[in-house]
Amino acid sequence: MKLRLEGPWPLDPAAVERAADMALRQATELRRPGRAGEDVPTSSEPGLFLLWDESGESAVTQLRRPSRAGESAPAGNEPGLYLLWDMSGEPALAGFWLTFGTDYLDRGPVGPPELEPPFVEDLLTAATEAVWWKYLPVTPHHKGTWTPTVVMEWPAALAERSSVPPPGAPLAETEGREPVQWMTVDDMDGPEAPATAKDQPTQAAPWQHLPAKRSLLCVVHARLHHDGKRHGASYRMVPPESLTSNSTEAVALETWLLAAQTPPQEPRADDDTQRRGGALLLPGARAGFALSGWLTRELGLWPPRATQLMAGTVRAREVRSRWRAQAVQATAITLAVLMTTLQLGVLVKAAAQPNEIRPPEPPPVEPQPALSVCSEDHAQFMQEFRCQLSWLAAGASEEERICSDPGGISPGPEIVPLDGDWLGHRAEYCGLRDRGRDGWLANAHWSDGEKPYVDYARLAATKACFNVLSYPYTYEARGDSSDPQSISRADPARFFDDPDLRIDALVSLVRRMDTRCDRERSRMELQLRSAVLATHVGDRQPDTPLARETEAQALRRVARDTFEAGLGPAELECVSAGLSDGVLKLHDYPDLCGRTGSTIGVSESTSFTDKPWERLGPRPDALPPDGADRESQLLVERYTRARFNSNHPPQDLAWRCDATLRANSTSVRSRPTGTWDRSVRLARTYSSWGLVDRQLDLDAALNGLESQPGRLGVCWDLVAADLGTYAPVHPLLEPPMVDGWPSEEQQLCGQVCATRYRIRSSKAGARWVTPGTDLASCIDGGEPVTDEVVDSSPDRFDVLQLPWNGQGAGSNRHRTRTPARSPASATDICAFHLVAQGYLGAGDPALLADGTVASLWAGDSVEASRLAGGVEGDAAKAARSLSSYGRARSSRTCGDVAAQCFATGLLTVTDPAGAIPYKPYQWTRAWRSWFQGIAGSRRHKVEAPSPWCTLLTPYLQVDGALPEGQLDYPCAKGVDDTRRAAADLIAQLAQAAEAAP
Amino acid sequence: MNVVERFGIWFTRSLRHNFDLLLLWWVLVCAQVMVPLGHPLARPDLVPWMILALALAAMLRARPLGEGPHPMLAPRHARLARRARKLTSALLPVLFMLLYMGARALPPWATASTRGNLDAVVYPLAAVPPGLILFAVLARLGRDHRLTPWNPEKGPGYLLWSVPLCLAMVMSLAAGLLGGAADVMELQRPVGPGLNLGALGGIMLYWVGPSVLLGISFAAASQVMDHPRNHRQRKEAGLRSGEKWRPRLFRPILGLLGPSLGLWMMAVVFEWAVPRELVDFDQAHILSLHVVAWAGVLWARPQPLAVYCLLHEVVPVGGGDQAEANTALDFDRPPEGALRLNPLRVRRTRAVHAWVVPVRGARIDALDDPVRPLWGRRPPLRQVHIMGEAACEPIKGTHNARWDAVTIHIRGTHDVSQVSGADAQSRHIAVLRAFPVPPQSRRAALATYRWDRAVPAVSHQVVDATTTELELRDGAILVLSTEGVARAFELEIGAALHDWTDLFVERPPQLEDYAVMG
Repeated sequence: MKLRLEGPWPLDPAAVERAADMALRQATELRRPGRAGEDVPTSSEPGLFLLWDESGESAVTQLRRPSRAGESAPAGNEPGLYLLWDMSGEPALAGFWLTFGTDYLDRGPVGPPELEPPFVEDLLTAATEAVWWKYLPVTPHHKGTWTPTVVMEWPAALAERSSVPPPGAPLAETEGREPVQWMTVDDMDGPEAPATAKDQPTQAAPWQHLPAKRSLLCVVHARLHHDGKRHGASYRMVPPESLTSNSTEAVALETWLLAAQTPPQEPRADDDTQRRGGALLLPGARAGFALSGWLTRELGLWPPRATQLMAGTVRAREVRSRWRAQAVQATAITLAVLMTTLQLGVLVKAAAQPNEIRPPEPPPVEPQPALSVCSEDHAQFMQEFRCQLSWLAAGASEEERICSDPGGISPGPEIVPLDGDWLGHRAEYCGLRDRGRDGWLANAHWSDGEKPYVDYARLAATKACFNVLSYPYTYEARGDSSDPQSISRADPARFFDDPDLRIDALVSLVRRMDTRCDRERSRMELQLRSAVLATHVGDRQPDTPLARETEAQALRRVARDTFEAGLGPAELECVSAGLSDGVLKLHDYPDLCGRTGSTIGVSESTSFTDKPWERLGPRPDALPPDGADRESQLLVERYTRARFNSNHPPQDLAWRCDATLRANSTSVRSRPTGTWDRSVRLARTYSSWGLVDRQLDLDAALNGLESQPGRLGVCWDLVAADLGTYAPVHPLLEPPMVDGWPSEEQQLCGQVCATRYRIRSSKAGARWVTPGTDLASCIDGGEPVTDEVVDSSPDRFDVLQLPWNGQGAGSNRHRTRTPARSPASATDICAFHLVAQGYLGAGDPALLADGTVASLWAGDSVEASRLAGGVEGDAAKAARSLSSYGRARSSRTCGDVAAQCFATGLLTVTDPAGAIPYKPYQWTRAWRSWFQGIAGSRRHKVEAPSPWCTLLTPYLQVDGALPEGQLDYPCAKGVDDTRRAAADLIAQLAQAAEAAP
Repeated sequence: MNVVERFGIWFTRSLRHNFDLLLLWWVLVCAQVMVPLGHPLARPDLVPWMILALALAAMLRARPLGEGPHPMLAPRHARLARRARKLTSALLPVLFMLLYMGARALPPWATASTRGNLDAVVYPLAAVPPGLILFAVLARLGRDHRLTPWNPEKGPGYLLWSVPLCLAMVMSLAAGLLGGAADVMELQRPVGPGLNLGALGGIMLYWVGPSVLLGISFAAASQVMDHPRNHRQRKEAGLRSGEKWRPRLFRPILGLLGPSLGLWMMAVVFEWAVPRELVDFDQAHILSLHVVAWAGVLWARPQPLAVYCLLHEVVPVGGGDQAEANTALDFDRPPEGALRLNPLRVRRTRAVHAWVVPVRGARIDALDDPVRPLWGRRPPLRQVHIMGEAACEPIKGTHNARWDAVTIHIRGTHDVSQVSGADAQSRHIAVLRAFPVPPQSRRAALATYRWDRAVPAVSHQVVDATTTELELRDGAILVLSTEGVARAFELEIGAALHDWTDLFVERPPQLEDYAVMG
């Protein structure tokens, strides 16, 4: 390695980049091909050039100045900027060498806050600005990376005055450290004053062999790199130990410069001291010592710790060729403008585009059948068509020649006139068409078709078309010519089936009218069945939504819900219309289902604006004139007249029932159901008020029809069919025993009472919607049952009765002395029978005393009749005993009366329809209040106590005290025992009611 | 810095540097709707509108596409010559347009087509000779614009501009004839969606003429700003490496082909991609955008060498706390004076100090322009003042040059707390910024007194021994306090310097020249 230092150039520590720029520019100029061989700068170049002679073996030999007259060779250590050249081959720049002068003391770095080696960034920036990779030969250079070395030298004049002077260097006489002139108190016993070089002979001894001029050095390893796009540079200080060994021998220049080209290691974390390295040989018979930092302008060492040293970087530069950069930019701009214009064009187009408002889709153009069916004169065709329909609907046979048939007759007066026919002939057409549903088809035996049977509607259309076309031979039947019936007859097969002859307009008309007939028939039948249901069950719904619903209306609602199960919205409208309006308000098809045919669930084509329908009659808004016979204008009547006749009666239940109701032919007003001796009424005509308003009757009827269909007539069969999913609620509890005591009906009524007064809970639950009317039917029995009554009407419904209610006996009406007294209440009657049937009198606790048999307590109305409530029962006899003096008043007697009284009290408490509907948890307290009212408490006074309780009044004490030691103590004891049992019983009932769901 | 931030910086920088072109485009968009149908500017081939946009852009930005004079030579500045040369640059495309229009109307007239009209041929061509005369007059008036003194090789300079001019005129005529031939053939352009190769050919041929005319106009408007001696200077000087100078043809070729190819591609793609839409006068705004965009590319603003800055000495507005009856105010009463200098409430005095700040780009001058220096140029003096080295440095992350912010690196060589020498003084420097620049936080954080309104933290920066970098923008307030005496300076960043000869001829004034002795 042969090195050469070129310089110096003037070096201002505050403008290093300027000096480097000048040095590099002049060096480049010197090596320009046109100036080869010259080794002196032009006169315009300032500064002093020192050129090293590379002729010898050693890299550093002798300084020589440029051959200028009158100038001597310099000393070699002049301050300035030197370029370090490697002369091994072609001269190549290897680094920079800075030798500072005395101006360093004024313009050198101050130290903080810099932690990167100073001046290096300026040098590398100048090299970058000089485009080192293009105009400068550099070394070491590998793949665009140059690693120059920067050496900063503080010559002896500065180094010896620094805080870390070179070892062994004798101080100058005039520049030595100031002697200690002051001695403070602390110094008297403290450390000795700093020793001068003269005082340290032993320390200087190892360095005696070195040259006298000893400098301090800072060596920096730099790295410049470019990749064709970017240029970057970084630098880091070389630690002193990387340059020297531990010996005192000085390291040769080329050796430590070569070592400096190796990338330095980062300082160790524990390397926290600043130090000075070993001796390094410098050009010009000098020696130097590398530092682990650099000197500030105060000649102090900075930074104080080696770990604070940081690597420096130089601003990155853009070195991509300019035309390439502009080409990229132009391409990007072109694409950006292209994309922008495209997007802008699309956006402007979208923004400027007027909103397209699509008009509603026009209805599909339908052929105008009326204008092209069979004849140009449509009116003539329609007239003929109506005529045919009228005749056939009136009962004309298919073989009769009517209207304009060849040899036909004129319409008689019974035929609806063709002109001014405001109702049209839709019902007739559909009726004729639906004849086929009952198997009634016209036998067109003259036809050539394979199937001579056609429906009458198609026959009417065929004949009308044939007639208005003036009996064309082409469409004439080719049947047996000998058969006079075949002469000039229209052949339906030619009109409808023959692929060559058929008239599509006529086929389309008939097909569409058939489709409409099918739809309207189902709707009409649904409304008809709803009207039948309304005629039989429940009551019409209240007109105002806030009105309280009656039990009959609730029964109608239950029946309606059952009937409506599984129906769609359109069908529900039909049901609603049928229930409310029946069928007696239907005059034309548009009236069906509350005139909702065009709005709910029905396709557009089925609206009454349908062309084919219009062609059969005027618009529906053509109302009949006032005073017209509406009965004869009913839709169902015209339809049924066209569809059925005496020879072909209706087969469907709905139409059979309709015929019955409109004929008013039911002679029998009511008929037994066959269940529980209940009878139901038979409908005579349509009505919105149902015949049955009690669930008991409805269940009896449905149960009877289940075993014997047809028993109650065709309409009840229709109702039973429509309520097929209805689940009867009676019997409310277990099925009554047919041969048990009391009778089956009284058992049924006992269940009604027990459920009605919440003594028992039924599975029917909310489905039982007529408890009031059912209970009324159980107790509304009129006069007491006697032998005559039983014998005369064995199928009479066994109602509940009370054997004693004050004076007299055997009536559900009070036999009191005061006429104003109210009759026996349902509560009294139900209380008696609930005790009699064991709902209150048996079990534990029981209102009846031990040993009392309920049937004996209640007695039979008629002996062996199994009708509870006889005057000879223990209860009735005990009541009579207590009602007068001198009779037996035993504990048993009083207990029997008290059982009825307290049972009445219990039902008064549990009655959900009472004056105060108590909750189950209130029953016990309510019972006590009732009892205190019976016992005479003013606070809980009972307004109209039961006669049974009136008998017990003397024995009822509010405080519960018994008349100890008195004659009537047994009676009072019997009453009190019953009271206790009643109190326990009401608590038990309340608990059970609360536990019930 | 992620891609989005880079794009944001690039976008805002592009908008700021090309604001004049954007404004021009906006004016053209607004003027477009005022042009009635049938007006000559509303021709469907958009040539008049395109040339109008190009002429206006040339008036704003026209620059030569060549390398210019030798950078070490001082150009001549003359206002009249500059304006005449700008008008010349704008006039030349108009002349080409007249030739084009006349030539385009020629084939229909010659073939007696329904579109043929002799007036359409004669009138444009008749306007060319007066236009040439006007062009010659303007060129003569503007010949001194940026004219440099050295003309090393005198020769027939008129050949250098007359031959290209004639060539451009011929090409304009040829483009017009081509467009007229397309009109005669009545090629169909698609008006509906779908791939229609035949119609695509019609589109491509239809737009060749206007595209060629645009490229010629761009190149001519640029080259007319150049001087023949510029090339001679560079040829004589050679390169730094000692090699011979060769003219760089990339930018002229880019100016000739870039706009034309871009317009051709854009029109073809637009008509082909946008259904039922043809490029006509309704899309003139797109063409205007294309022209101004290419004007921004070809005539980009050069990076300045330095910017002039002014330091206005300012004093706070307000003050005047008056003592009441010779007693101080209570502490719970906020003073009315300016305890803190509000950068928005200052008043400039008449003291103004100039400050030249160099602009450092990411690129290297010697690499981009390797012409050999004519003589040894003294490097610029170091921009050193009391706060360190000031320069307009590139944007970090994007490396784009900017000259709207001054960056000061404070190094150890420059002590900001003391004045060197015997008269050591305590010095404090603070920087007040009224409006922090994103992404700096604007959240209020600092308040000296409780009655003070809090300001963002970056609005008040104290320069101490740990401060290594300062960034100053227009309106920043420098507060220098020395031994209890404070002076404030408001920074105003002014015009840019583009010529070496205008810069660094002497040591620029330094801040410390004014501030130290205060």
